Formats: sequence, structure tokens, C-alpha cells
Amino acid sequence: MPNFKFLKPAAMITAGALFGYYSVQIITASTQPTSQNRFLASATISKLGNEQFARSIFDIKIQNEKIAETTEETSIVRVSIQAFQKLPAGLIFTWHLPKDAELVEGSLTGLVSELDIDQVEEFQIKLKGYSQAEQTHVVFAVKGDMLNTAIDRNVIVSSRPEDSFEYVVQAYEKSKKEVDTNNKKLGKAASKRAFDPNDVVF
Amino acid sequence: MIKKIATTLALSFAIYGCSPAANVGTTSPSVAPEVEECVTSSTHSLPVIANGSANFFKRNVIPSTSGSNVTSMILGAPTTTPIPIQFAEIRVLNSSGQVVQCGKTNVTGSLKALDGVSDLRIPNVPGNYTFQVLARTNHTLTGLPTGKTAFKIYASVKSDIYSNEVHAISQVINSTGVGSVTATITAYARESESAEIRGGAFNIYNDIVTTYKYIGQNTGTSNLTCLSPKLEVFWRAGFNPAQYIYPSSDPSTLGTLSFYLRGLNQLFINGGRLGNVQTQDTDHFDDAVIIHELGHRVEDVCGKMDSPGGTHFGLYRIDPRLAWSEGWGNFFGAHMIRNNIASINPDLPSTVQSRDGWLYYLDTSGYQDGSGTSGSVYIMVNLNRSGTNPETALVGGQLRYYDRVSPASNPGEGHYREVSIARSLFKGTNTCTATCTSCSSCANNSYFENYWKAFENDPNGIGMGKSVYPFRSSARFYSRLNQTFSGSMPPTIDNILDTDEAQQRESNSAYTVSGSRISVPYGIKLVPSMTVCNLKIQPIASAGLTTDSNMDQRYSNHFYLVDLTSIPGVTRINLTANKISGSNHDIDLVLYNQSYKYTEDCTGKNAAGDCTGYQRAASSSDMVRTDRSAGLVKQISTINSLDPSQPYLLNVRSFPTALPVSPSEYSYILTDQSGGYLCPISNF
Repeated sequence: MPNFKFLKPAAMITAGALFGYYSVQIITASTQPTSQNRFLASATISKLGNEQFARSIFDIKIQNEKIAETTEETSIVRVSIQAFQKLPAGLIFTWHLPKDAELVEGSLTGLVSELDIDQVEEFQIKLKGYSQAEQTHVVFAVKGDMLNTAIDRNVIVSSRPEDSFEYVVQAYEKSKKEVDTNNKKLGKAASKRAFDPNDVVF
Repeated sequence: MIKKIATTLALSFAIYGCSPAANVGTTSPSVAPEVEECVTSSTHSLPVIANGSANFFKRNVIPSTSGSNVTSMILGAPTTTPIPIQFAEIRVLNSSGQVVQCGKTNVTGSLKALDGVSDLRIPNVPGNYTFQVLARTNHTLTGLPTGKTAFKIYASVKSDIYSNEVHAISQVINSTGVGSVTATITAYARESESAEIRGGAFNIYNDIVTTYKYIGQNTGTSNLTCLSPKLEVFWRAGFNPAQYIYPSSDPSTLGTLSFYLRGLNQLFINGGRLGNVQTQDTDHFDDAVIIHELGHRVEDVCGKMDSPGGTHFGLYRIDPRLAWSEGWGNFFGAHMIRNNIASINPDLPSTVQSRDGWLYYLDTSGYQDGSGTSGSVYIMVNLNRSGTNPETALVGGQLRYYDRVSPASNPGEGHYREVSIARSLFKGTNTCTATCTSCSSCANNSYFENYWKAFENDPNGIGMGKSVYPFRSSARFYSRLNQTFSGSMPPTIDNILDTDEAQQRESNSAYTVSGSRISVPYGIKLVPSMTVCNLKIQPIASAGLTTDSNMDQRYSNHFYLVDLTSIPGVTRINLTANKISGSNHDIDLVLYNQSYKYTEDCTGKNAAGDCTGYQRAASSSDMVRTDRSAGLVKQISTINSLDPSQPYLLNVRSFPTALPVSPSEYSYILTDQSGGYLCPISNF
């Protein structure tokens, strides 16, 4: 019983954290780079590597469609690929599951279909052993070649995204921006932006 | 019940929004300045002597080999030899949490007093004492070459930009109050041994200390006080610092990144993504990446960073300022590792050591160390390879080369390629046996001191960091390097530049064909001339794997420094061009300011990076004068009204009237408003 009494508030707190996390996601979704400005958005992300080629060819999004509370329950992860230019068939996709996770439904590997510009293909898996109980990750990778160019890109989703520091940065910078907006209305000075991309050297 | 849930949810949200504790699971991180340095040496009567040491472990590389070649390296299990944490700040706290002593580790990682030599003394009060070793130092290097001004290693490695928490490791020791105690404080590399992977933080720290020590010993009497201002490094296990740059981007898809913040003395090292270090790209054990970024900082404070930034893949000709800056960083990382293996990785596998030692820029993803892990090579480039046959990536049976060059056919193109520059720098100051396939001979001498003299910004020196050398590139570097040898460059270096990397120096005869200059060094000064100078620009065809080939920086452009004080009385620059062969182009004039970003005419590219559409870019905030009208006769006027204290760059640029199907050649002359000739200066 003492454990049970403890678990209920813990579950509520977790729910609160998730509420906070997804609230930020919903709000920041409106500020995501669009396909129209994807070159601008990624122009300074420029490590040597094949991943960069892929960014100009297609976009990948990954999300937890349903995240289980316990490892015994089933979670659903969904990926969508949107072609920025005509995408020939033949790119290979692979899901990488957490250690000890079990695939319930879907294929761990396969081929991405031929896609026209702006066409979207979705992939989905159901799995166990990937839940809010513990932070683990699912990775979706696309590899192959196109127009003599290597494609090598992966996206990752966490079972507890609210535990990641990326989320902290997202939320904090967003709140700063809101404060700045309000300050601007009041004629107050804006806070310093975290970084000026023009100062960034890779 | 609903009200209770709502209240609890709201309360929980508020807790996560306000908690300053862990900085994860919150919407608001703790915000605090960096804790003050521990700089007071406390005197204790009849003290207890604290012995011991501080060390760290890092993940080692697992190489794959084929014959005499190392074909790949991934991260694996940690090293077994503890690596000393040198010159790091020590704080000793009593059981009440009060600091009772400050100290510093010495070169072997031993715990010492603040002077780095004396014993570390703690009170004779029995009880528990916490020994903290921070990834921070404020250490003046000793044992420098005679005559060299002292300089400091002053750096801290912190978890994030908000909390400014300095990474630290600690051990609690019980003291009886008499005699001595011994603390062995260790930073581990495995998450199972250290959730925050402090070994990563101390590996970054160690790379900085090792690099500074090397520079201190290998730059003669050059003044290195440029390095003394504090360097802040931010790294957190599992966190991608690109999120700082693009806070609203989806972290699931945002590319991982390490970077340097120009002018701010701040490095950001990639720690993974969304808490994952097992399979994602991380850089905390990628010494080549860490020191590459440190190389940018060194360039920024001890040289001069002209890089406009922007994309760089190691596959295309790019802006020569960017190529230089990135090539320098790539070289810097590989060179420091090769020449400091004992400090950076004492357990480097013998399979690498026996194959000519460390020759690489290496960036890895994840690691291989038990189930659930997956290590892979993100990028590996052997800087000992010949530029005529460099590293390749095998893609669907086709080879892509990392900045392959052709010294005979395309002289000078290496100055526009970052990997080529990294190779020439690396081979020019290392000793190698060139046993690997398609590898080159090195200069087989250490010229790092000359490199530094050619690079630095000391106003009393001759380096290209001085303000008299704007628009810096490898062309300028090798010109200055030649001057460090009093105009007699070692033939081994020139051989690398001429036959291996297509980075011929400005006076090389390869640039003159049938009496005409076909390429000019980037940023050569334009001066009045009594005689005409025969200049030719040779735009290439739009074919092959060349980014933006219509606006190729090597072929479709010539770049001249315009120093108004060197062309007094000139109010106008005229260009008159003539087609000799090939496709139809306009030849245009653009005058840029000093910090310009090259304005491309390309409006679309295919996946291979080739330009598929183009439009004349007639203006930008960086263009101070232009004539981009149709035709071959152009002029820019009223240049005498520009600020004479500023340098400008004249860009003679071809613009294809149709996608060029064949290589072209145009001659041109530059004159002033009176018809006087303007030519590149004879002495670059």
C-alpha cells in the first residue's frame, strides 16, 4: 500500500511532465522550418557527411504515436517521409529498436517507395519494451544512394522525451521569446538570443 | 476527482517548470553563473597531507585493417590505462560542505597545492572530506622555450549555458586527523560507471591541455598570450548543442553538431541526441573533432578568422576562406593527436600504431561495447593520402572522392578544397613512411614553428593574421610560410603543394599558359601597371560532380584585393573581355566588402550539388559596387568615395548566358578611368 500511495502521485507528476512536454511540442510545431525554407534552416548544419545530401532530398519526421506506460504494453512509433524532389525506389529503411524490445507489428527493414515531389510515405511499428517506464530510443535510418550520392540519415525518438535536455532548451528559449514579445509590446529591451547563427563556426 | 487531477497536473507542470535541480524534466533550467574559482591556499596547523591522483578513462578506438591500411575505426570499450588529469582545479570540502583547501593537479595528475608542487594540506580534524576535481584550469605553463612569454591554459568544461555547472568528479575520504590520506579520483567513460559520462568531459579537457602544451613547446618564442583568455566549453552527455542554435527545431531530426562561437571563446561539443550516446553521433571521445573546433578558436584569437561559414562537404571547391579555416581545423586535430599519442590515447591499438600511427580526421557515431550499442564511422579521412587519389566513399559501386585534385590539369584548385588543405598542412610538417595505399611522402620534418609564424597575428611578426593580409586563404598561408624560410621554401613542402595537392604558390609557372595568367591567387592586390597584363578566365562546363559549377570559385571567378591607398586617384575600374573559345558568358565586375558572403547565382541544385538553375545576383548587402549587365565591357565607378581604410575584393566573375556545355576561355584587361592598366601585384 505505501508503494501504491507513492505511485499514484508519481504517475500524476509524470503525466504533468508529459503534459508540459507535449504542450511545448504543440506550440513549437508552428515554428518548425518548412520545406520552403529548409535550405536556409539547414544551411549552417554542415558537417562533412552524407546526411546533408539527404536533407535536400527528403524530410523525415518521427513520433511516438502511442507510448506505453509499462514495458509489457504496446507502443506505436510512426515515421513519415516527404519527398522534396522525385525519389526513386530503392532506398533502404531500417528500424533500430531498444535492447530487449520486441516487435509486435511491422517490418524492421524494407524499401522506401518511389515518391513524387511532396508525396509522403508513412511507416509504423508496434513494439513492446519501449515505454515511459525507462528512457530508451527507437531509431529509423534510411540508407542508399541516389544520383550517385550517398544517402545516410537517421532520426531518433525517445520514450521519455521530456527527460532530454533538448526539451529543456526548446522550452526555455520559447519562454524567453514570449517574454521578449511581451517586453517589446511594453517597449522594454529584448533579452539576448542564445546564439547568432552567423557566429557559429563548425 | 477531475478537479484533483487538474490541480495535480497543474502543480506537476509548475514543479517541472521551476525546479532548478537537474535541468531535465523541467521547462526552465537553473540559471546561474559559473562557480568562482578556488584560489585560496589555506594554512592549517599540523595538517593532514592529502596524496593521490586524478585520472580519466575514454572510449578507445577499434580499428579495422586491410594490409597496410586502417580502413575504419569505431569507438569501443574504454581504455585500460588511466590518463592523468593535468593542472585541474581541486576543491576539498569538509563534512559541512565548506571549502577547506584549494589545490591543483600536476602533470601526472597528482593532487597538489595551488602551486602545483607542494603537498595538499587539509585540517587535522577527523572526519569525512570530499575531494573534488573540476574540469577547469587556470594554469600558467612553465618550462617554455627560453625567451617565450608565459601564457595560460584557462578553460572550463561545463554542462550547459544556463547552469554553467563545471563538470567535476569527487571522492569522499575519511581522515583520522593525523598523517596522510589518499584519494584516487576517476572519471569513467561508461554510462554504467558514470551516468554523466564524466570521462567525456575530462577527455575534452585533456585535449585542450595537451594542445596548449604542444603549441607552447613547438612555436619557438612566438607570443601565445592570445590563448590566455578564458575558453568556455559546453558539453553534456546525450545532448546535441545544435538545439541551442535552432531551439524550435525538432530534436528528433536536428542534425548533431560541434561548433565554435566566433569572437566569444566558446566551444560546443556534441554529446549525442535525446539522451542517446549508444548509437548516435557523439564527439566527446572524438579527439579529432574536439581539436578541430579548438583549432577554430586558436585561429580566431591567435590568427584571424575570415571564414564566412556555410556548408562544406569535403567534396567540392568552396570559398577559399572557408576552405582554409576548415582545412586548418582538420589538420590541427589530426596533427595534435599524432604528435601527442601518449597524452591523448596511450592505448591506441598497435594495429594503428604499426600502420604509420595516427593520420586521421575521425568522427564516429555511437560505440560498440555490449548489446544495445552500435558503433560506426561517421567520417574518416586519412590526411596522408595523395590528393590525386584520396579517400573515397563507395556509393552504390561508385566512388566519391574527398577533395581529389589534379595538380597538372587544375593548378591551384586545392586552395579551394578544405580536405586538400588539411592534407597539405599535415604532410608538410610530419614524418611518415607513406606505407598506406595511395599515401604520399611527408616533408619528414617538423615545421610547426614555421606554420605558426605564417599563421599568427602578432603585429611584430610576419604572419597572415596581421591586418595587412585581408581575405586569408591557404594561398596566403603558403606565401607567408615561404617568408618564414626567408623565401626558400623547403622543396619537400613545395613538392607536396605542386605535385600532390594542386596548391601551387603564387609564382608557379603552372598559372601562366602561353603568356597569359589563367589563375590568380585569391586576394592578390591590384596595382597600377605601366604595361598590360594578360589575364584569362576559364569557366568550366556545367558537368560532373561540382557544386554550383557555373559559379565555381576557382574557374568562373578571379578575386583581387582592392586597397584604395594602393591605387590613388582611381575613381573607376573598367573591364574589357574577349571571348577566345567555348560557351557564351558575360564577364562581370563585383566589388565586395571585407566580410562578404559570396552571392551565388545558382538558384537550384540537384542532389549531387550541381547547379540546375541560375539567375544573375545583381545586388546584396555585401556588394558595394557591381556591373552585372550583359556583355563583356563593364565598369564600376566612384570607388574613390569608399572608405579607404577598408579593404575590398574585386570579383571578376563569369555568368553563363546558357548552361555551358564546354570549357570556355576569355581574356580580359582591367583599367582605370584614364586607361591606365591595373594588374595583380608581382609580389603576393
